[in-house]
Amino acid sequence: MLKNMIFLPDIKKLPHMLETIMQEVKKYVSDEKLLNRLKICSEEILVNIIDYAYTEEKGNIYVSCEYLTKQHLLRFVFADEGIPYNPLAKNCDVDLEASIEDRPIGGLGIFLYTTIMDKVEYKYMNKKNHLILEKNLPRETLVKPRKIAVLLESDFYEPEIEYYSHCFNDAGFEVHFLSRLWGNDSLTFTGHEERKAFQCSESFEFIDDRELREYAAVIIPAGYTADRLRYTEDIKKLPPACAFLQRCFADKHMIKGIICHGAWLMAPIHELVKGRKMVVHNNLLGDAHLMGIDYVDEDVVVDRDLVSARTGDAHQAFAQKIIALLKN
Amino acid sequence: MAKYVMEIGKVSKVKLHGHIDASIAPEIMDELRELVGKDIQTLVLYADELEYIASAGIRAIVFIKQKLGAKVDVYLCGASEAVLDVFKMTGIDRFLNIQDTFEG
Repeated sequence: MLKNMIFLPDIKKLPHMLETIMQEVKKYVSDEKLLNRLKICSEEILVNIIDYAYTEEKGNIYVSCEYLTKQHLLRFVFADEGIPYNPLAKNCDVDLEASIEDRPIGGLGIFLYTTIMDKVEYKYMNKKNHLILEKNLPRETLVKPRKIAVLLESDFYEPEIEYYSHCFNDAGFEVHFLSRLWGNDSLTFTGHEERKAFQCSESFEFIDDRELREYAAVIIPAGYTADRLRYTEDIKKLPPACAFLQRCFADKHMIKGIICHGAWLMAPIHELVKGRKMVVHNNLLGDAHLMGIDYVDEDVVVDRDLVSARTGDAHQAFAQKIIALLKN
Repeated sequence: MAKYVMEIGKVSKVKLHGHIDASIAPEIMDELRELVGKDIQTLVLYADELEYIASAGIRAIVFIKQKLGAKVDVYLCGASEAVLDVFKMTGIDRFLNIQDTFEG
């Protein structure tokens, strides 16, 4: 996601500029030390522009902040319309060993942002100075994902879905029921036992990579959700739910939960569960064998990022196991 | 009334607090200038309420350390990890006595 900001080069507005930029950065970064460092970088560059870019004519400061999900990369661009000036042209090294008396009073700002950032580049284009800065964000510095996806279709198992509606939120997560909405804003599904209605208004089809990163876990529940979601109108294409699950399985940090008949949905993408330790509903023993699942005869089974449960009745133990893994 | 310099004497005390960015640093610089030429043996910088400091604030500290000379001990007390990080990155930590509190 790219966020563009425009500021007036007024030193009194510096706290506001920093707050605005950091508000954006905090969407991605949670590590306090790194946040502080990124704020310092922003300040040093803003102050440089305020002090030097507009001594004669007035102009703006253009800041953009973008997080590139796939590369785990944060990119800032600071631009101004001042006279062409490359701050990197000077030697910006600071002799850290020098005695305090010999320390020059200037140059610290450039030293700080070139030290903190992984890549700093200057470009003059479209009559603007551009300073492009990139920082690789290790996973432990990123905002922790809090969302839990539960796939849903009609003939769901009511007690299970009712439990998921509150148990994850109670544990500090945020549950999202996702389905295929066929162009509708929402669809009302009905339960298997009592025909209870459940309104679903989110689709997994439009979740981009950035949003997917907000998900800590995805659950294929019991009942007929899995079977209904493995429908494809184009036999040459994977069902959209399976395409979504492929992306979930690609992220080893995301927990995948499969309970009861949920394993049906893995049939078109069975290579993802081949050799994995799992339990399935007794009705699916043959399917598990064909899919190459390493079947384990227990009510709840954990294989790294994959949690499975035998029947819908084990939904509480299954959900609590997922919560425990996420909190660990 | 000074916002940062609390006491000028043999042991002079300065309380750094809040966000010390480049819009604030000149105020601190002005207050620190008052210390120049005074008979000071020790300068204590209290940083337990300092939330943020960037190069402009660091420059003010380098300035006063240079002006007071090598004989004056400068203490930095109670700084958070994030604040200390900036002192370390700039290598200024080597010229300061860094501790949790100041006794004496």
